[in-house]
Amino acid sequence: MAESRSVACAAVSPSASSGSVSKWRNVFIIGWIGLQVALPLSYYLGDDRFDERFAWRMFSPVRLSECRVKLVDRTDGAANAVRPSAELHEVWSNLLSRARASVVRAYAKRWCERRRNAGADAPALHAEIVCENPARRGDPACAGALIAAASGPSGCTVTPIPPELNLCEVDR
Amino acid sequence: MSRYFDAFEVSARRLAVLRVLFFGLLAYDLWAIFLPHAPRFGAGGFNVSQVPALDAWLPMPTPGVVGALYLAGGLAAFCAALGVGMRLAVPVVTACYSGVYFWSQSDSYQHHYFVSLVLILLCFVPHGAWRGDAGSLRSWAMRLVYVQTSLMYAWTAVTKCDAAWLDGSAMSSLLTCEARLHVQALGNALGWTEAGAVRAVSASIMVGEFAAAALVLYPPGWTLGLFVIPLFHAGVEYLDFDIELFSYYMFALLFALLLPQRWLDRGWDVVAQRLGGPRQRLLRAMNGDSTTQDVATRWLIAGATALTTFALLRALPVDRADLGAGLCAAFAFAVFAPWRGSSAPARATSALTLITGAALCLAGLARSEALYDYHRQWGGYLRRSGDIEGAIARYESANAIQHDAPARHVALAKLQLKRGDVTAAVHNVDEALRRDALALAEANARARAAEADAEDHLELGRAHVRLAESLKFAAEAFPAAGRGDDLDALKRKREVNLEDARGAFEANLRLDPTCGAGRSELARLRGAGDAGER
Repeated sequence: MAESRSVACAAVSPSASSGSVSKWRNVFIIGWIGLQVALPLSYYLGDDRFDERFAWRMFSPVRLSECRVKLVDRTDGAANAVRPSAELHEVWSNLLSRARASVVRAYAKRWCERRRNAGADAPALHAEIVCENPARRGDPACAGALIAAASGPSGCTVTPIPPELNLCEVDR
Repeated sequence: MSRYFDAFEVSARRLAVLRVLFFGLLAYDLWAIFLPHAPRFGAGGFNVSQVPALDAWLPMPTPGVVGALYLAGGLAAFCAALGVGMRLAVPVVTACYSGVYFWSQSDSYQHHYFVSLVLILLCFVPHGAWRGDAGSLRSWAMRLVYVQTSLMYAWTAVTKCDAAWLDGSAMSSLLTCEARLHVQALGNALGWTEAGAVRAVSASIMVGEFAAAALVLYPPGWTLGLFVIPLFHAGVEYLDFDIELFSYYMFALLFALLLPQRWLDRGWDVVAQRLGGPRQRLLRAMNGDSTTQDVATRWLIAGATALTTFALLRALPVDRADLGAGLCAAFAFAVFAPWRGSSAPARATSALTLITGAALCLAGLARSEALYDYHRQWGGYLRRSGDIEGAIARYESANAIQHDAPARHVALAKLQLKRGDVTAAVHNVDEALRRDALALAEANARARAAEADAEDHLELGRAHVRLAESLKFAAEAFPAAGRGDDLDALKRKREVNLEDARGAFEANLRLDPTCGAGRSELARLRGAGDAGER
């Protein structure tokens, strides 16, 4: 960059910086750029399509995909619906409804601990989350797929978390 | 690579422009937009940080602590914008803003992440460089700001190399009715179908973002970038996407990063010619001969500034205002105290700038909707989670802030009735009716004016609906309080208001038949049936 008047600042000129400082600065720069490449790349190479933090996916189709989220308590064999919205602030309910896995896991961890503290030996919480497949949002064949998830065309919906997974066993 | 960063030169004037625009916007953002979100932090004893592996070690955020960090961060940003205490201001605002961002996912737009990253990098710009002296300096951190901005555009463009974006379906889902009309008009002008126009706009955004990534890193392309890249952000604002101040951050950043040096110098000279003299005279008059300031005077200025800052911000009607005011006072004290090795005199203008920042925060928040939203939203959460006492306290604060405007009196009265406090509930219903009637009269005057537009009729309809809802609750609450009001008259009045609301929404649709929001309001009224529930 050719600025009009150049007065090198001693505090930051290479001659003034010690070799050690320069080395750590280079490590910082490489680490920074490496992270900024690796974090978005890990989104594209990973399995979790619904957590777009750190991937710079502004206005992505994922954000527009709707999910149907149901948390089910199967501790006693029966399937009882759990209502996180009754106790969580709506920002967390919104993140749950957008299938944010880290929030689902954190809520499950808290719920399972409470159930254990209340005397349940083996609490069982399952997340039945069905989302529109972001890759096929524009496909007319997939219109209304979320409503007819079980009977609709295959590939129109995705399940970010396996419904058979007992979330109370994940973090133990 | 080392040379690529080491040899990067940036003019101090460019840094000064960046300082004023970026930190000025940040101060406004933290006080007016972030602060009302503080009550969501730690609500219900639940939190997930941006790095969930750290959750076991991180304390639970609370509205009081987060609000205090936003207040202090805002004051530090205000000082940074005006070049006061840069050595401390930039790290403080970075710690407050980025610290809260990484602490919780509860308020995490992608641009909060971007601003956090830029702030961290700006901490590595030498504090003396922000003064705006003539000349330039080398800064690897500023080079990294350009690289970071470029990477963001590149990855955003990669997101759009996707069938759902390129076939226009993603863009179609995002368009508001008004925006769709403009895209249609563009298509008509070019002889395209609406779908074709949407596809063309989608593809051009993707190409534009790749181009932006390249232009930011290529200095000869900066002038072109200065005019082209902001178009994308202007489009986002035009389409009315809810992304808070992201577009404005990018306008500020792109202007400061890409403005050609010769234009910057010319503009600087013009401003310096006009304002330089008065500024110098003001500085001389206020600061006197600061070079001979003794240590005791400097301690005195530090203490007085800190105390005044504390007294001002302690008056803010937010949770833990004492903590926020204390943090701001500590910042003020640290900026002016003559620590060992600090030989710079404490200038009266700098102290006055900091105190002005605190006063602006107090006065600005009092005149904005931010504090009302702060208490209203908190009250809503507490009400939904069954904390009646907490919700009542929050609604009372919200209602007091709104003066004569409609607020949360009916919601408050419902809670008071639940608690058995009939007298207070009835008082609040009366207050709701008074304020709703005032607001209705104002909306009526606007809608009857010759220049009234569709929006005025929409607001009039909403004012009628609001009054109808208050009347409905009054008809339920007054008998419980033993009041002998004519219930039939209340019900008739409510019916009249609902009918007038329908008329206003229809007028909205006559003036804006394609996109008028009156359509959804009428559907809502129909959906609520005769009860007029919303």
